[in-house]
Amino acid sequence: MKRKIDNYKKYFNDSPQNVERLRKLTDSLKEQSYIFYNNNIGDYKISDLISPPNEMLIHEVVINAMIDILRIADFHPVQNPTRYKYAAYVSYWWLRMKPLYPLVHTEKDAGLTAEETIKTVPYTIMTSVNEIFVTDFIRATVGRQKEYKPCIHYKKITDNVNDFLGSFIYFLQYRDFTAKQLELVLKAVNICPIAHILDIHPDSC
Amino acid sequence: MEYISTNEFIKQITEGKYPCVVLENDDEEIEFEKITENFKEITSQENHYDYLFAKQQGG
Repeated sequence: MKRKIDNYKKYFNDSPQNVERLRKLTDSLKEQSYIFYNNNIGDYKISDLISPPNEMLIHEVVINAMIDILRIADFHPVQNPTRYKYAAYVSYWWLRMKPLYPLVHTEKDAGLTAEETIKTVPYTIMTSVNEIFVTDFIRATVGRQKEYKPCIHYKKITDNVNDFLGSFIYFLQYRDFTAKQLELVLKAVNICPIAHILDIHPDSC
Repeated sequence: MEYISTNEFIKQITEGKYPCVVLENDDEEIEFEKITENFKEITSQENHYDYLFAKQQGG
């Protein structure tokens, strides 16, 4: 069995381009994770509920994702990996490494009773924080640009978007999937009219 | 309903007849800085996390 260090040497030792990709993807993910960490969800500050992003684990996510992507590129003559590939493989490894984790360890620490725990927003944030982050990362990576105008009525598509995103987080959290399967899902989602699920400017319609 | 050939459909897409359809050049190098900017932009929208509070449609 090939060790990870061997793969690392194979893909990064003699390729300044891959080293640069590795650095830029790592920097981008770290910055995104801190933007997320300092954001609010509803009335809750995320930083009150989770620890700061674990940068060591983020680096591990990027190395694993890049090695997978570059290994595939060995067999497919493409010039550059697509954004779907980056979105899928980074997400896959992020959800295995889980660089974000809850700040508290019991319902009591969170100031919740067992009965109210499952219904509360802090509970959702703390138990799904990596899935929520990954959904944001995917939307930022494969989302549409503002010049693309939605072609379906805003209210209906908003309901569909909310339903999809809720189901998507559930899927990321509880279902089995591979990075390849996730990549296919993201490509399918980005087909019009469903593409507006990922529209980063829903107000434009 | 008007039926057209696949070739005609692709031609119409490339001419911009369907603005919601995107043909992308997947060979371009990803700009990670742009992804960070997108992330900053979408997560700063006031209603961005509304879906976490929305009632699921089932299924």
